[in-house]
Amino acid sequence: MSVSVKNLSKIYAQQKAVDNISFDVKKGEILGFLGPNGAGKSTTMKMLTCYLPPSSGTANVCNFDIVQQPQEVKKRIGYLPENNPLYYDMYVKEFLEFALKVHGHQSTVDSRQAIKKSIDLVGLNIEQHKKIGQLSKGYKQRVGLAQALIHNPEILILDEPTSGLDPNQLADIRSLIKELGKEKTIIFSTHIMQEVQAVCDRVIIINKGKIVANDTTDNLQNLLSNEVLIEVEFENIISEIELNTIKNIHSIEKISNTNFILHGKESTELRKDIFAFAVAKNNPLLTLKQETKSLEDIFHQLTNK
Amino acid sequence: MTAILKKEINLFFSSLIAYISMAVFFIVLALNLFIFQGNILDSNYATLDTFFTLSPWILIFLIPAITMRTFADEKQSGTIEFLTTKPITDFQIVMGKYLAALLLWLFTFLPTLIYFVCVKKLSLAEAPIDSGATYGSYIGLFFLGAVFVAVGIFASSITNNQIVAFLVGVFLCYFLYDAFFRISSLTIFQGQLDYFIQAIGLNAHYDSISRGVVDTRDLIYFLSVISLFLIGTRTALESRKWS
Repeated sequence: MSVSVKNLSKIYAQQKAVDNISFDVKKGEILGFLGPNGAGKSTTMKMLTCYLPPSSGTANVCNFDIVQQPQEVKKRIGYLPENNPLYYDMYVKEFLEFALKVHGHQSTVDSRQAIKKSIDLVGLNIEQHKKIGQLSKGYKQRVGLAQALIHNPEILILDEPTSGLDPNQLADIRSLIKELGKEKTIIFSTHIMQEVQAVCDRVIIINKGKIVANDTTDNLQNLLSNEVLIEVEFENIISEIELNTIKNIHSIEKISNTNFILHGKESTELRKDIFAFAVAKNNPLLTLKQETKSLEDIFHQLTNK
Repeated sequence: MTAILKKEINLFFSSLIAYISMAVFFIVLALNLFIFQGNILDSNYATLDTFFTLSPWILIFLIPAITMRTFADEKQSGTIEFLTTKPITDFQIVMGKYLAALLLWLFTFLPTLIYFVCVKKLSLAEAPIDSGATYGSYIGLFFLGAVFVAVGIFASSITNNQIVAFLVGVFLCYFLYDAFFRISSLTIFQGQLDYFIQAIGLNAHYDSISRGVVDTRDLIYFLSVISLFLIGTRTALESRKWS
């Protein structure tokens, strides 16, 4: 196990920020941390990176305990903190060199190569000669990422790495994470469902300090979809009362007079019934589309308590 | 630790505060020594006493101004999270920052040796400046500054507001330098405790070294106070771990 968390808790005076969570992350896995704001994602990450001590429970990173052997743990982690704190007065390369040196790399030749490599990886080439304070938010985020991976750590812990990026940059960073995930273990937190679906192998959903879901992205979608959604569009206007005559429909959502989403139990039979219905009513069917319950719906379902 | 040292030095010199502080120190003292009323050119004594009596009072404000941002700024911008999740010990962070500030104090301090050279050249051959006492005073002044730097860094580590760090630093520096002397002059302490209370203060040890005799008691005192405040700084840094 690359990262192993057992019964980890963080309790502030009145509040249980993290409440007895346990999970494992295998080597080379990309884990997505999902959850509403204030759920405990950042606090968990701060404990894993030895910034905060846990109130109870243990965690092992590469078989080193976060409380007993913090220096060993920190050597093996690349961390991008939430809010991406940076030294605005330093130049990009100066900062990256500092990040490298602070991890114990002394040789100058290797440093220059490592810095160049990390700048290339995150796409900072154009901006590499500026002071950090002069960069736009997206590029500052990239500097944060560069410092996390410059010393080639086994594990990357990224707290909302894509926050504040524009769609182009988002695509770049996601493919970067996926690329890095081939060799490294990555834990990252986000609010964006498509990101999780696109990049992660596994997802953990946290709500109010507790884990409410912990499974692979595919399994999660299958498991919690206990109903199918079929989008239908007819050529002519049709009323809900008529639609209700189709068997095995739980509910109907109206989008327009001709466009509806039908919630039902089983997909194939329902679609056959809809087709037969359209034929019977002499109302050509323009759209018959099955929608799987999105991760966003699952998120709502699990966290709206 | 050297990485932090290098970064801090660069940071000091990339902001105006360091240059202004150094210039202010040098210029104000030069003015008082050579130009303003009471200067040695008028009084005709070949001594740098004015310099050594005035310096601590200026340093009480100057050094906290230089050190106020060392930790407070990091806490406010959140970079302290960056620093403490790196594989360096809290002690290395504290020492790196202390040594950088100390180096800055050294750079501020060294140009004032010119005063000594000036006065020496100006003084008559029969009544030259008391070199022994002057060397002692310079050593005393350097250690005094070193103590103030440690105090300033400690003050910076207990808050995330630079102004508070400055004010606390000034207060603590003043307290260490002068307050014990004043307290010891209260009548209840006369004759018995007054000597000991005085001995806790910086003033007594500074004067003592200024006589020209480098007493190990004084050196131990200075080093102890520096250690005390550096340990205090490290404790303040670790306090994030207490809930």
